[in-house]
Amino acid sequence: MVKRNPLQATGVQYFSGAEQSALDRQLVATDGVGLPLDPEKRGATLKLLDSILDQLAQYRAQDLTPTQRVSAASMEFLLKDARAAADYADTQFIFDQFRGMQVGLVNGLSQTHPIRNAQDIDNYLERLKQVGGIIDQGIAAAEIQEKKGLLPPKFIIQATLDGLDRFLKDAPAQNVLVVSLAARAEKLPVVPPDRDKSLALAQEIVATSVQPAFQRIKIMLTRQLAKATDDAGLWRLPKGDAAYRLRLHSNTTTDLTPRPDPRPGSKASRQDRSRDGSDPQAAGPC
Amino acid sequence: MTRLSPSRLAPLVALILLGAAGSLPAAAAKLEPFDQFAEKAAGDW
Repeated sequence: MVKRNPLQATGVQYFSGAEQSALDRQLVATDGVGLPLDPEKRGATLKLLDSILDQLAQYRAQDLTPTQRVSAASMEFLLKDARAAADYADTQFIFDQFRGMQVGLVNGLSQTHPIRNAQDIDNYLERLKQVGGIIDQGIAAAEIQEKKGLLPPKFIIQATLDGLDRFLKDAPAQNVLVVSLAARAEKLPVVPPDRDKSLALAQEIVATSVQPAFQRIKIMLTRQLAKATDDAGLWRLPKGDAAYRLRLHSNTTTDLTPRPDPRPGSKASRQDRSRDGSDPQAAGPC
Repeated sequence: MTRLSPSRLAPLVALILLGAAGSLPAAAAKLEPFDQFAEKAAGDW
């Protein structure tokens, strides 16, 4: 599950040589469920997903080893889950304080992207140049959600704004995207000949492209804050109930529903019986 | 109606059998080893 997410590809270094290095120079703007925001790329990604699922279905369990059967079942679960999540992308917001696009980009570059040699630095700078454009795709997508009446809760917007302020408070030379590159380039056993030039370029990109893009997120979220409410329940959103059920399934691999488990012995069942006095276990110690 | 003599029928039957035999392994042959498929799918996706 690597090529569709270049930052993830960088993190796991699944490939090698030129193929890996090409991925290490890319960024893709994705929605809250990890699918590309660009409609063409999104369509191609879903088509690829369907194609892999079709191929997977051709393998008969009896022809696979026990290990392969587990592998096939895991793939099927994850891919079907990703396919189903595509329908609920609007229940995830583009920017939030935990897993928002802006957090992913900063963490991805300052923590995941390796700095092992001059090529890694060049790849880093290439990615840094793309951050502004990626953010703008995210803003456009968030504004489309806003037009549909889909806004994050007020406290999420406020926490996200606080994070943006922390990112923007330092001058470009002290920005984490420059400091992280400088600190790691400093530790290289062989100092790249263009290191200082690279650091100056990183500083310039942060000043002229990255920070202005983060300011644009701030402008949008500040506007949205005035319209947002404190209602945070997923059920308030269109398809919210179905999205909740899907996440319950994704996170537990069960078909449990949001309703209390009525099976005998379940906590909910005991609570119900303790209320009507029919559960002796609920009576407590004598 | 023209009747085919056994000598003329034999190649036709052989052709049909060959086609039938060939079509099934062909479908199976398209299926790459599972580990290879899984590794490629993991990379592509």
